[in-house]
Amino acid sequence: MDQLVEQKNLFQNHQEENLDLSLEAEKKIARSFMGRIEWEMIAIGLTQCLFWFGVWAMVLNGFMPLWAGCLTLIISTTFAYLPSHAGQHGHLSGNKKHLDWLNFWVGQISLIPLAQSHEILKITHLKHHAHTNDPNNDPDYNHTHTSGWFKSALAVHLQTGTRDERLNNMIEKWTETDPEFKAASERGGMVLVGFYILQIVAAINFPLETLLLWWLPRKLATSYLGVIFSHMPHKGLPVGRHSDTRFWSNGIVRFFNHSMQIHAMHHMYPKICHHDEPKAIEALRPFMVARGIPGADRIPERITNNPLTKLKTV
Amino acid sequence: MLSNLIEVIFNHLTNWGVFWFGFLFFGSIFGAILTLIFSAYDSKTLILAGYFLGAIFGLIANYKEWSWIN
Repeated sequence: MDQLVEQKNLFQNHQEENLDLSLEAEKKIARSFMGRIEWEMIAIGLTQCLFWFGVWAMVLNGFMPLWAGCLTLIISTTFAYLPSHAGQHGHLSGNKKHLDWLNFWVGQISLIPLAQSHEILKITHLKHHAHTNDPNNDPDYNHTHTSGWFKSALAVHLQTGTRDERLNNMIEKWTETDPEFKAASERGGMVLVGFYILQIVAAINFPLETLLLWWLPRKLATSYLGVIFSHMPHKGLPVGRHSDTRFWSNGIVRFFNHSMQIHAMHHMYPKICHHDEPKAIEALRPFMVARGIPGADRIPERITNNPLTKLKTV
Repeated sequence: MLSNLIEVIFNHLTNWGVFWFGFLFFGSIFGAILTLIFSAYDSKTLILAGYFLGAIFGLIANYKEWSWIN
């Protein structure tokens, strides 16, 4: 039996030694996971938004107590961002150009519970990809590189105001130098003014409901997003395509972390859909280990149904 | 004309958006909370008191740049 295992290991080592680890080979494998329409994200985005309106209707009509609506929406609002994120990277239309409108509309509808503009999140998120962990060019820098998760949970709320001087400088610079950024931020600004007015109107008519079904869930969800999507995968890491994101684990199953333990895959190839990342990692694992992506050597061989509550110790 | 008006509104909200949000949004919420706690008192007075508290909260938030309130 031991002899068989030894033989198998020898065969695997031989295979890995002969593996073509060139960038071309890596790209060829990665491309095989790109281009499909991520229908799962379309379903999640529209369902969670419909659910949000449904809970409002149930609470206002007395079918659900306000506290239960609040607890339910705190959880469901955390699902509001990822469909927009998929739209930001064009996953909702895949390689079908004529369906490009899905990226904006599903993305924006999904963001209603977070009262955010899809376009503004898109332009800043693409800058984050281009300049991950660069203190002067990464819009997420301030809430990512904090000394602890709680500080990150608080700091993420400063992104929407004027107190994050570093972010203000970046936006000012890109508004002056990047006409597309300027136009998108103006369109997104209109959406934000719309949400601002809507929230006030909602609060005047349904004050406690607006506080507990909209304001509080979106504030808590934003903190969750700051910690799980930015702080945990990037904190303390340098700039560099293969070094700016880590594989990590916090003992909580992958689903409740929105699979952000494997966020390194997304930063390596942002065009691969979120739901295809596990199988892409399995295929690209030798390349990730060879490139020295933090934690890549400790991820399990199979990811698909693995809750990834911990990384392997090597 | 319209773009000028939008620009004026944008500029105003950039400087005073936090105040208006504190005044109107949180003022409504404070009023509702006061009405819940002091249900024996006149609700109109309590709602006005809520907006008064909201205005103070909005002014402080605007001065301290508490953008997280909106």
